[in-house]
Amino acid sequence: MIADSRERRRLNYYILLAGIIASMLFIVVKLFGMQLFSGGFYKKVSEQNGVRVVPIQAPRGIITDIHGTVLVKNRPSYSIYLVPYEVNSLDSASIHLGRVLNREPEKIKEQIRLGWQGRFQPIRLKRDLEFETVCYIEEHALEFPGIIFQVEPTRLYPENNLGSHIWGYIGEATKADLGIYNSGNYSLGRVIGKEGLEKQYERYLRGQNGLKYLEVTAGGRILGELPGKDRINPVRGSALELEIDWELQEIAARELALNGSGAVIVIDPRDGGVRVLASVPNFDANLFSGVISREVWETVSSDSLHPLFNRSIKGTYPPGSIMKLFTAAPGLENDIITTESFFDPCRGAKKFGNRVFRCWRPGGHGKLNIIDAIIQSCDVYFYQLGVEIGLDLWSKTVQDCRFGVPTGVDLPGEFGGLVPSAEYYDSRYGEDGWTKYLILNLAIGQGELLVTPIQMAVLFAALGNNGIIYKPRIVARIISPDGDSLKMEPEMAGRLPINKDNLDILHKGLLGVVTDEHGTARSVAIAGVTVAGKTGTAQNPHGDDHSWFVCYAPAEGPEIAVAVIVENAGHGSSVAAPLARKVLEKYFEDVPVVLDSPDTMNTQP
Amino acid sequence: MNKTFDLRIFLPAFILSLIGILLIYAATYYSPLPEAKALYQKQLIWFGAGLVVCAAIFFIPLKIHEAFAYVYYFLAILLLVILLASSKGSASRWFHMGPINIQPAELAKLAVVLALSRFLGFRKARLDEFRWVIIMLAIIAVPAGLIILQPDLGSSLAFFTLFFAMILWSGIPLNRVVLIVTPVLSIICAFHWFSWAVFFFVVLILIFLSRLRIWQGAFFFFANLSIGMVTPLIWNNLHEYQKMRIITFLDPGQDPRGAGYQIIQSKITVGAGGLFGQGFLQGTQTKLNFLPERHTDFIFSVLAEQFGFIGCLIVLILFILLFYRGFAVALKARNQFYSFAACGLTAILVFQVLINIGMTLGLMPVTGLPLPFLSYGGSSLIFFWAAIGFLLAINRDWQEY
Repeated sequence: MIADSRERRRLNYYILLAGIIASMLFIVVKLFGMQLFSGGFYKKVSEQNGVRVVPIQAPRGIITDIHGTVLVKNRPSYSIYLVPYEVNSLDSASIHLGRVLNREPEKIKEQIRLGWQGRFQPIRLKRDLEFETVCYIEEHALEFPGIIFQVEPTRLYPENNLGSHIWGYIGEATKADLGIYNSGNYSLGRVIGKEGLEKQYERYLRGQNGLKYLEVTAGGRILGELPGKDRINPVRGSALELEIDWELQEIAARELALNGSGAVIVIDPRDGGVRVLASVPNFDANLFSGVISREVWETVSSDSLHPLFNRSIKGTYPPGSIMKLFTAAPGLENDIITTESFFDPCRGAKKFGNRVFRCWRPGGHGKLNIIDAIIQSCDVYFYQLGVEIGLDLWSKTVQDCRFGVPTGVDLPGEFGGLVPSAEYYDSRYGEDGWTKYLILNLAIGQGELLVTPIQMAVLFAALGNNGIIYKPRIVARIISPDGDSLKMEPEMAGRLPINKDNLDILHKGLLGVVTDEHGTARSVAIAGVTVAGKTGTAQNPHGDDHSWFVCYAPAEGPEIAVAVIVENAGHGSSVAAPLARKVLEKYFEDVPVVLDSPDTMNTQP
Repeated sequence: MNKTFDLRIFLPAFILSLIGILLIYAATYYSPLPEAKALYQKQLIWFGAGLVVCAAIFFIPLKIHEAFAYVYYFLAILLLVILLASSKGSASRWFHMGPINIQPAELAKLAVVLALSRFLGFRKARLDEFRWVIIMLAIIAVPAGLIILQPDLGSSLAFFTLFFAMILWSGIPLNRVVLIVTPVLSIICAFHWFSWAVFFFVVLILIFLSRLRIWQGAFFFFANLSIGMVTPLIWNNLHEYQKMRIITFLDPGQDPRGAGYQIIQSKITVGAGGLFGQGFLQGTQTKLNFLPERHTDFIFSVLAEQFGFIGCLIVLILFILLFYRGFAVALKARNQFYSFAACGLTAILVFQVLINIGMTLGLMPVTGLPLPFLSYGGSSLIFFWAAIGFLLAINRDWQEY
């Protein structure tokens, strides 16, 4: 019996031993697999475990004006980051942070979800935190696990908002933005230019973010930078040197704001450099530097005056009488008129078909040649000229002058306006739905014709420089952090389809507008500088007339072309022209007043 | 000396203990807490105490322990009851006595092994008679139950391993051993009707083959049947969180932030070691605190990270040597008491090694059982050195005999 049990014990012992040996073998095989087969993988995971990659935001490039005055720079700000790993409950953390950051917990959870790059990677929750909030969270650090602050540069714009439409603003990258800059440089929430130069020159301004590798313990304690892994220092963005003349911009924008809403553009006719680009109302771009609060956003974006709307390049208006220059052009170019030819004299109105078309001056202008017609802005003259030219020739010439297409200024979102043609009317009214007399309105700059203020400035610059249509440029040079500079060369967009003789005729007319006793803009005349310009009063179906004035000076060798539009302000001569005069006075303040030549003296009454 | 003092038992245990101290030093080296850094010194003291206990057991005649086996057993139970009573609901596994903490569960292990051995040895029990099995179970269940209440599920599992090893060792046929554990297997198989149906069929065959008495056969039949039916009922009536707790115990990967985190980090740590390891005091997992409980439950991971596959293999070989010697002593022991005692102590050693290493490799649930000789902890170290003392003494007695 005992022997039997001993035998069975031995048998059971072998079974037990077999089980143990099998288990040990299994462990050895598993170890072999983990350490030798997957060892590389685990090694990598273990190395990533203790490393937190913290981005160092590069300062954006600064922006200076033509004289080197710094316009846009950076200031330090606090950004708040969350390290998901250190947070036990994202729900309660969101509620806690939501209270302090004044944000809905759901929004914070969404941010965490979108910004997730791994449990150890910090997610930015908010930029440009108020100092008080930073202090509060620091003081209550135990209630806010996993929160770290980073000092990061953010934008500082001039407080007077006078150039806000030039530089635009920055914001956090959205999904749509990521689609545009699909270069791996961006992640959601990264700072990105949203409007203006900030957007246009994003790839130069942004610089290159740096990285630092921190060694952290499982508890989140930062031991310092990871040994043997150098930080990648951020490279600041390239600086932009603008063609903008800040003092002139300030005067123009300030004066414009005093008169209502509108735009002022000043362009150098010699190369297309933009000296002034003002649009009023404007906005405080600094509001967008931090994370813009919903209230601020709604206030700005729902303002009925649309302060974010850049009127200088996106505002489309009927040009009014200024267009008469570009009705004169096809007339002269096609020998329909000369300085010696006359139409029926102006009696204050003229009948075309069965409809009477009025001149702005009820008393009439009498018999005028082209120069006087420009000077006195006679509607009846241009009605007749328009009919002679005909719609097809007129719209072709106007399009050749590059109306209807964007000027190509280096700002995003420019509009081209509208030059109606026969096809346009066909599609709009049907082939027989319109008469040839539509040309009458177009000839004096009314009707469907729409232009932007910057187009007017560009074309007047071209009138002043013998016909070269430059692409307007705001940025003169891009200066990299190494000091390399990229000069933005003047670029020709086209040429006015007007020969030198005819340009001289138009020039005489424009000169007369300011200097002639019958001129509509005599108020613009300033001592020592001859100004050539044209007023415009654009009828506007939505309200009072828009007041236009466009000019270049000095007439004999233009240095600046100025376009001014003040919305709903009435006559061009009463509002826009005096405003332009302020700009001219500022620009020419340093020009010594030379005694007027006897010739010009004679023309004065 | 060679005959009476078996170096093949002593040396592996001694080397393993030294490796343990080295690993505890490595595991706590980067800790910011000075107390944690000093743990290897404490372990050194415990090692000394363990050697003293080992010597004492070696030099005190084994007959005395045999005579006092039941006394030890009741003392151990008394300690467990006092611990449970004094903890007043708050979980506690330790008696705090000044600077040292004693874990009565470790003492109880020893006492239960001796009591069981005495019971099985003296009665020359016929385990064919199930009544003895019931008494055996009772001897184990009382302390195990008290330990579960602490709560320390891992340690109590060691007791049931002991039961399994002891009935095997008693020499009863394997099919009966299997039959005895069928009610437990029934719980596992009951989660799917098909697995349970197959299982129940096997049980029926076993009952038939074992040529049991009618009532014994009926007992296993109904025991399995009722467990198989009740288990799904209980499971379906558990709250979701209770189910999750059980599931994450069995498969920690289900809970990557909680229990699963430890396992994930442990696997990373082991894997990162490679063939030769990252070197003594090297390796980011230990250094940067990513490996939790690294000087106690997960000490094997520290070994794996710093000394690699080769280091692990050396430690595993030392353990296998111990296992082999333990069972060899048990086979040759001069009487049944010694034989059962040697087998029981070796079985606990084997169980804890397999469970602990299995856990660090992600093969086993997280039970909190320390790795013998290597993990930090005085009670555990002293228990295993006491076991070594017994094995040495039993071996000597056989040699003298």
